[in-house]
Order: sequence, then structure tokens, then C-alpha cells
Amino acid sequence: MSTREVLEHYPPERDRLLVMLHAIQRNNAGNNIAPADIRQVAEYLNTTTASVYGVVRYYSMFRVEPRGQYIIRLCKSPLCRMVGAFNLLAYIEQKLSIRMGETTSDMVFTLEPSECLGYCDRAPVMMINERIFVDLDEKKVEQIIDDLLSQETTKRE
Amino acid sequence: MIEQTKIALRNAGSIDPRSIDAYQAAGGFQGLKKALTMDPEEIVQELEQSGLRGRGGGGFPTGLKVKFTRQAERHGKGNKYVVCNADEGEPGTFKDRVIMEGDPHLMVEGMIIGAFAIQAEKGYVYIRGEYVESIARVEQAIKNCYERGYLGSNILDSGYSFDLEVRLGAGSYLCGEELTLLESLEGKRGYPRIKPPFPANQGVFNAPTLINNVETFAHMPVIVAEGGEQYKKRGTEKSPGTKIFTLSGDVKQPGYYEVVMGTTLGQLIYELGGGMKNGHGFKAALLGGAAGTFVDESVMDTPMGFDTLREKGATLGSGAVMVMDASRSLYEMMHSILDFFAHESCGKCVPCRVGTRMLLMMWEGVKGGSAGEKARTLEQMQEEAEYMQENSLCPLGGSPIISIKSAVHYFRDEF
Repeated sequence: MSTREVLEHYPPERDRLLVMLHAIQRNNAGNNIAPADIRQVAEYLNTTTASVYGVVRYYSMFRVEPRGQYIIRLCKSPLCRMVGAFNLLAYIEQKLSIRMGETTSDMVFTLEPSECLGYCDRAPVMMINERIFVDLDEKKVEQIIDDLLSQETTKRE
Repeated sequence: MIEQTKIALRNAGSIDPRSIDAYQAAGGFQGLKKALTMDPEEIVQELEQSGLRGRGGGGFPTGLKVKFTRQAERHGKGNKYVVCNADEGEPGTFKDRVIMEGDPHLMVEGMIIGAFAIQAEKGYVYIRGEYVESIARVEQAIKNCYERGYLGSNILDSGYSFDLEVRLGAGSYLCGEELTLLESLEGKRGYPRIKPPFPANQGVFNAPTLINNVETFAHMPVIVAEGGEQYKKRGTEKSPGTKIFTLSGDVKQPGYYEVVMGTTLGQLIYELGGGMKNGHGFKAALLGGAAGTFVDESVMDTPMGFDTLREKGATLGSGAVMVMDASRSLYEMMHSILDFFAHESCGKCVPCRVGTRMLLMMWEGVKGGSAGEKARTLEQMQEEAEYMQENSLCPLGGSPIISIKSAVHYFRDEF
């Protein structure tokens, strides 16, 4: 679907901006909202590019730069930290050879921090795209990432 | 042994949350049906009578809020609005998620009752973008309600009409603050507004707006159905009703528990939570999330309510209870909290933007230092945080002082 087609699902009302931006981002292969999208949104809402750009850059779930197929959001809020979120962070960084905020060179994974995801009774926690993973340890994280990697390899073959 | 008393969670986990039939079979919509036969003024009275206080953390009397919004003048022929704050993001808190995932119709019913009381035309549920399942469940519940005539024009032939839609957040803690939420709801950056005016007079689109937390709305159907007087029999005099506590950390059975107000921390940890795990003793609990307070063993038997905890220099807040055992580092926990606020400060006002960063640097500066050094730094930080509280635009700048002050009070020499 083109960005224009996504937009046309909604009446051109400013208060729907965040909902529209979520939809555009989901629709884009790069999990992002590119400058060209921002211009189209601004035109659709009859506002300035700067105004839309300001919103995109304010909210941490939106990203202008293209991201990987899978966005790993690792919870680093106080409780997850207490039970080892930073050890998991170091492990993921090492396993994927990227740092927090970066994307793997094959564009499969992006690693991002997240504030409290609301599963503190099952900490540590992460979210990959729209799925939540709880009670994590290194072994579990390894399994999850390997599963996604093998799915991706099968898809590309 | 304390038992749970379920109002907001009365169906969660026991019915199919996608099915409006299941909700009705469990007694759903009795409150709304009764409300539609009442004078809206009477609903306000019942809510006031119930003594219900905002469950998002503020503890403001809900009945008063409804009354102010009802009394507020419309701007010309403009609308009045109802907004549900479902931007749950306070660390350690997940009660709203449980309600939305487990019993979304209850929250929607509460919103329609609130809307009828103030005669609002339109409502929004503002849900944080990460709560994918909550979003799906609430959207489904709204769709169901339209199909069965609980939403839309001429609800159940009462002549009253009300429309409800979902709006999404996108990863900003600050948008959980009500005025900032309203800015975000209008499709803008999440920057706080200056208060007053309050939402009751100038809320979303500058119109009178009733904004409440998910859990608060979930209590309204019961209050209307059984009457405020009956509702009030639960809990304590100044904090009536029930509260969901979300228990996490070093306990055997972490999770969510709905209990009457006045339940003690000890009952929560040792009875419902099954006690401490890992063989270490209790050291501290952080009550109310990052914008909450550290407490020690001495608070274990204090009945938890808005005022009783305040007397002890603690807060009830959102109901988050994070438990730390003797092996945990309070220094690290404080560090996480300060890190959190430095990250979530929006940058609009200087005291908060600079202050949150400065507190973090001060604390990082004493890492590895002696207990005395840390205690002295903590006291300096308290002064800075007080200044921030006085001069910041919104409650975020006033939040670090809450945890710092409690840390000085209860754990000055233990960092």
C-alpha cells in the first residue's frame, strides 16, 4: 500500500496524527516514517512539514531512519534493571554485533531501549515488534533470536 | 489470611474479554442501564457519596472532578469530552493493562456513565502504543458496544448520544500526565500545559473534559449499580473502595491483586505475595513507581490508603509495589530512577531539563564512594530536587524529590 492509501483510511484531522503515523510506520518495509512520508502527511493534514516532523521526532516509537525487520525493545526500567536487564543488553549487543539504537547490517534486527512495558511481575521483559517476551535469561534470548534468524534465512532463500 | 475483593477485576480472567455476551451474562451494563434512568445530577451525587478517589495516582476525589466538569460552561455550542487515561507507563504498574485485556467492556461502561453524568458528546481512550493487546481489546469492545446500542446515537432509547474512539500514544512517559496527554491527543508533541486552567474547564480542544484513569472508570458501574453509600463500606474512611496493587520484585508470587484500601504492605507481601523469595530478608519497597517512595520495614503494618501513607512520608501512587530483598543495592535502584527521569524529561522547561540531568550526574559522581559521602550528596540532591519541584511546569520535574526525600528519610545511611 502507498502512504497516500494508508492516509486515506482516516479523515484528515490533526488529532488522528499519531494513529496515522503508527499505520504508516507499520506499512513501510523499513519500520520507519521517511521524509517523503512526512511531506505527504503534512499535505494531507494541510499543515507544515516541520510540524509533523516535530511530532515524529518527539515520540520514541517513531523513527525517520529505516530499521530492521524485527525491532527488539528491551525494557530498561528500574525493576527490569534490578533483575538483570543490562546483562541481557550486553548479551544481545554482543550476539548481534550492534549497540543499543543500532540496526544489524543485514537489516534484520534493530535494538532499542524501552521504558516499562508493564510486565514487571515477569521481568526481565522485551518486546519484538508486537510480541512480548517475559522471564528472560540469556538462554531464552538466544533461542528467540536464533528462531527469528532461521525464519528470516528461510524467507530469503 | 486476607482475601482479594474484586471490583475492577471482577471479570478479568474469568470471562472471554472479546465477548459482550459474556460481559452481559456476568452482570455487565447494569450500572449503565440504571444510570440512563437517573438524573445526571444524581449520578454525580452517588460518585461523590462513594468517596472514590482517582486511581491513577493522584487520589483526587472523582465525584468532585465529575461535578466540576458537569458545571463547566460549554464554549458556545461546543462539545464536552470524556477521556480515559490508558497511557500506563509508571514503572512497576500494569493494572490498567490487566483491566483492558481482561475486561475492556467494564472500562467502556464506566466511561459511558461518566459521559452521561456530564452530558458529553464525545470520548477518547488514549492507550500507550506499546499496549498492542489492550488496543485490540478496547477497539473490539467499542465496536461491540456500537453494535448493541450502548454507544452511538440514542443509547438504549434514552435519547442520549455518545461516541467513543481510541487514540494512541507512541512511547512517551510524560503523556501519562493528564494535560500532556491532552496535547498528545490533539496530535501534537507531548509538551505539558500550564495548570490552571484544569481539564474540567479547558481540556481537549480547549473544551470541558472529564479525564480519568482506566481503573477509576472501572469502578463507576458498580458505584451506580449499588449506590455510593454501599460502595463506601469497603476500604478506609478517607480512601474507600478497592485498589489493584501490582506486586513485583523479590516475592514468591508477584502479580496483580485487588484488595480493599487499608490492606497493609505486610499482607500484600507475605500473604498474597507468598513472602520473600531467594532466602533473603526484606530490605525495601518502592511504592508508586519511579515517581514513588522508598519505604522500610517500619511501614509493613500501616494500612495503605492515600492519607495514611502520606503521614508516613510515603505514597500510594498507582499501586505499584516493587520489593527489594537484602541482596539488592538501593544505590542502583536510585540510579535507575534518576536515569529514567533524565530520559523522560521533555525538555520544555529548564528546571526539569537541567535538573534531572544534574541529579543523575551528582549520583553517578558518588558511585563507589563511602556511605557518608552518599548521604551528604543525597541531601544536596534533595535541595536541588525541591527547587525543581517548585519551578517545573509539570509533575515530572516534581517527581525526583518524592523518591529522594523518602530515601533520605528511611535509608539515609544505607546507600
